[in-house]
Amino acid sequence: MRHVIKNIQKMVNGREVHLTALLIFIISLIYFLFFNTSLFFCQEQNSLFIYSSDYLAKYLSIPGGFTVLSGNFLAQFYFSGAAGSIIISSLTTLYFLVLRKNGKLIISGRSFPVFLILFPACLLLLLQKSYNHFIYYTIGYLSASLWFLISVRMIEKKRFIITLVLFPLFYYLSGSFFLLFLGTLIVYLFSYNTAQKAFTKAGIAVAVFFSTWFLFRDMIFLQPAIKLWNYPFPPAKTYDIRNLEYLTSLYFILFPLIIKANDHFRPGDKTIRFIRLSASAIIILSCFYFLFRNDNQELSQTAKLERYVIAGDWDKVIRIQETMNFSSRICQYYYNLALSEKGELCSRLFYGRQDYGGESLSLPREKKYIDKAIYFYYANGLINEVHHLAVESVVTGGYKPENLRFLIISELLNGSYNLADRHINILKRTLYYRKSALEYEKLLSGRDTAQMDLRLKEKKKLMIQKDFFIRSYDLQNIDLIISSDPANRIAFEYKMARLLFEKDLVAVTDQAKKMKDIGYEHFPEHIEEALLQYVNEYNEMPDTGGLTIINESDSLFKIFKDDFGLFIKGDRSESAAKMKEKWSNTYWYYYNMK
Amino acid sequence: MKKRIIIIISSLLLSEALLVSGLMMSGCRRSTYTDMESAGRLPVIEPDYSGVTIPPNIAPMNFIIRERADNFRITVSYSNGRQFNLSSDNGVVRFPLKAWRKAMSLAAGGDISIKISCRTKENKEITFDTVRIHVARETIDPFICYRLLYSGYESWSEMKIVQRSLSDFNEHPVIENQLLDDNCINCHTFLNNDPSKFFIHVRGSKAGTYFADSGRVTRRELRTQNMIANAVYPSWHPSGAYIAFSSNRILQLIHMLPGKDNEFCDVYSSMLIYDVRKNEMRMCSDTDSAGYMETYPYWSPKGDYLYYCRTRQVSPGFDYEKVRYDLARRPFDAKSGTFGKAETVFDAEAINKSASFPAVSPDNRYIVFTLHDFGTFSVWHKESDLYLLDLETGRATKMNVNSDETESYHAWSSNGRWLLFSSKRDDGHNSRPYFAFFGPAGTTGKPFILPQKDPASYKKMDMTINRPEFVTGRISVGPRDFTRASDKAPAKAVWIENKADKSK
Repeated sequence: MRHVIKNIQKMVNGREVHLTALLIFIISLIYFLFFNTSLFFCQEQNSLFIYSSDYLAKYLSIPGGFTVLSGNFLAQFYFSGAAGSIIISSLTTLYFLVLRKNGKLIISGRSFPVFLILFPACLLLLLQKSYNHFIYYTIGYLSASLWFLISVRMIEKKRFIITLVLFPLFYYLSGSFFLLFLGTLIVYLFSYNTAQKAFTKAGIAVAVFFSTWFLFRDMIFLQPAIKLWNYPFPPAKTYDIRNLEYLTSLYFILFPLIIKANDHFRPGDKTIRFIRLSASAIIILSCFYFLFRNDNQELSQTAKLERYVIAGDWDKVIRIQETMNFSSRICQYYYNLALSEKGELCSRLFYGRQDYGGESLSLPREKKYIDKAIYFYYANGLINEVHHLAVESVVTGGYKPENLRFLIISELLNGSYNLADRHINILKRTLYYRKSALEYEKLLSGRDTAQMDLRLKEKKKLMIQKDFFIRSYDLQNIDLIISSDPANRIAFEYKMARLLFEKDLVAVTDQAKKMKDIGYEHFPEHIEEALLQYVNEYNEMPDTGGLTIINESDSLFKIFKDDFGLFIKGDRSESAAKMKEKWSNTYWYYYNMK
Repeated sequence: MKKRIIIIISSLLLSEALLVSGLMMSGCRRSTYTDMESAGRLPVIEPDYSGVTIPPNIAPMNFIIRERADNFRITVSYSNGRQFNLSSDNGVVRFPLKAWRKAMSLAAGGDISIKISCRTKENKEITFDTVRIHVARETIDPFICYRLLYSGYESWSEMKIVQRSLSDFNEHPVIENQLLDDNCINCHTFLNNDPSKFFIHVRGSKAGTYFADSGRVTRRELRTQNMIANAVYPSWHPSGAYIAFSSNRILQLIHMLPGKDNEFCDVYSSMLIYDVRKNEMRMCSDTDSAGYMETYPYWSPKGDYLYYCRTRQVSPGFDYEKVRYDLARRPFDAKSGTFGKAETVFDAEAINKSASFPAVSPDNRYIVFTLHDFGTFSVWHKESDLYLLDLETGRATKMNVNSDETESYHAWSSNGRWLLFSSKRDDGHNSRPYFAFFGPAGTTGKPFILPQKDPASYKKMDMTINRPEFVTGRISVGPRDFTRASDKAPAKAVWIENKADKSK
């Protein structure tokens, strides 16, 4: 047995680095493949790689644009979670291996403990967990480490001048990530040279950098000075893992010094070996802990639903929200949207969690929400507003799969075929959306609604006939849609849902009497519940406009009233849970208990 | 025997004749012309340059042939049978610059003929009617200047003002908003189309009016506390001493009915005059302008009149569809800097229309303006068309350059022979610059779009081309000059209360 263990130890000793690299790859792959697939979906939806010269030119006209372009190129494969997981895991592992090469190179091939490169690799892995860390940031770190590798090799061969000659190219390719490389190079020069040599070389390096910077600013690129410093570093305002990023960058810059410091320890010392092993174990365990800690619940919840919203799989949205009861406003907005698209807004509204009242029926038309708010207007057939928001989204955030889709749809529905054609051509120049572009193109050739799919036809029917100006408050917009087309049941149910949330029984009753004329054959469940609540409150039977309240509902309401009476009189804390379990799907519960 | 010889010789001659005629016939069959079918119509080309009148110094009028065929042959003929040939596999026709320029120089005052033939997939050769382009003798200003931006509703991102050469395809940035904190840049205005004297407004953190004067850019702040809004829609007095602006408080509304977009209404607007040398701003007039909203000032070529649009001041809750602007003018005395009484030049309200963007021809004879159903901002009005007002006869006619889509912002070339205007006729959303020849008798040629190196570029272009202006030469300042100027504090304009208006 001892012999076997010794053999394993021998085997591991020789392949420590490769096994660690494999471990990083496997941890990353499993985590992203099984526990964070929404990340890929979100990031894929956030950009669109377009195979066109204009798209390339936009990125190649700025230092660092190449890094972003490479990242966007890879991000298009995020359409598949498996591909995304492999890409992220490969880049992290590659970063680990390049750092290992760098480490070995700067201490002339001697070995150093794995935990010194495991730590930065794990930091990068944790960064990638964030929805705000895009793949091009990882490419930025990787490129900085590669430039360092090339530079140290050149310095070793007494060809420092070649490194300097390559500075403009490195800077152009990596943008602000070049500064990380420059910082690391300076630390390296001071760690492994005499002070005089270090000062001379570092001084020359800094001078070459500044000359390049001025050349870029004043002669080559029409870019603001600040952008030449910080692009494509993540923006400070929106970045939720700023501290982690600082730590990763700081470690990267100090890496040569850390390797040098480690060189002073004797590797044969048992205590040192124990410390090193423990450090690796702690890093791995901490990485596990932070990976699985839910840092941004709202984003991950939203992402889970959003993929089905985009696919138009409303049943799935309803099922997930009713099962998971997500607390975020956006999730509840998506749930209500799904109900509306299924025509169940007033019959199922309270089957799902509702924490925000009327505020979860639509979202503010602010930059933060613009891509999500658009669905509300599309549901109601307000195609001009869909177009307006899609244009705003493109202008402020560039093309994304969804804003481009909405542009195409709104232009097709509005009959602006030339514009639709232009946007279809953009969508055609993408990898994953070409097929849907070709589908849209068929609608162009038909130039009538006959070829439209059923969903588009439904929206065409909903489009308003009487003009009005969009208002800031969606409550007013809903009223204006209804006044333009009283038969718009989607808008009508949104209005009713808001009245239900506002517990305005008189207004609900007033609107309910119009329902037969709109085409309802019976009252939706929650409207019926509201009418019964009205009868209970005002002791009068409202005008139902010819529709009847079914007896079963009446009987159920009597049971509710009994249960509620017991709840009022009895131990509230105990019976509250029972009430919730039994009645939370009803309007009565919302009206009386919330 | 003799008879036999005669028969043999006759047979041989006949055979030879048959052989020769056979060869001739088979030769004809191979000829590209005898088998060629005539389409009996003009070819579909994009942009449509057939029948247009162009200046002799215009860039090659590249186009795409939109016919189903594999191979196209193009013969360009001009001036006494001179010609050059081109071929294209994909229908894209790009004229070599040298050959085009030679053709243009020789064809001035005449026509160039473009003969297009093609071979279809069925191996049939088809020839189309000749596309004729008339080349005028009158040249066009060598450059235009315009703003490029994404046509959004409220937001903007990338925005730049560029100068484009009309004799080739070179385009140079004059100013880019990414160098100015991504702020809005607008209203580029030249003094008599002079490239060395112009100004541009910048909003936001780098706010100011940036004056370029002989290669030097300076920043001024024209808005004073007495103004309710920024100075917009400028017009530079031909003497260079004054600039007329309007200051407008705007309401933006977005239509929900398909086919309608934006609606911009003024709730207040007044005209201001800025003394360039003294850096002083004041109202144009405060006597007979009370009770009116005034906008879109435009100086007559001599600077003796200021043309503009006006309507009665609206009150809260006004019906935007009933706000209609007339065309008016005021005499101006450049020496004293004072205005005379206002008079209506064109009563648009009388015909239930609204006028905007007056532009007086360099010979002072005509005004081209925009006429639309109501309101002030014709750019978002589909029905907006260009009208020509003859100042001698007082007669206004709809110009034959219009389309079903918006025609709005327009400018005159220095010699008054070319009209440049914005049209949304291509897609109903993005403005494109169109040119039209303007004849001495007020006649206009068929308009043509600004030629591009890649004739398909308009199809791909997302950006709108806004406020095109003629410029007589190359602008020497560039984006970095504006950036440097933006780092300096602006010279603040001083508000001057008006002296009593002098009646003329």
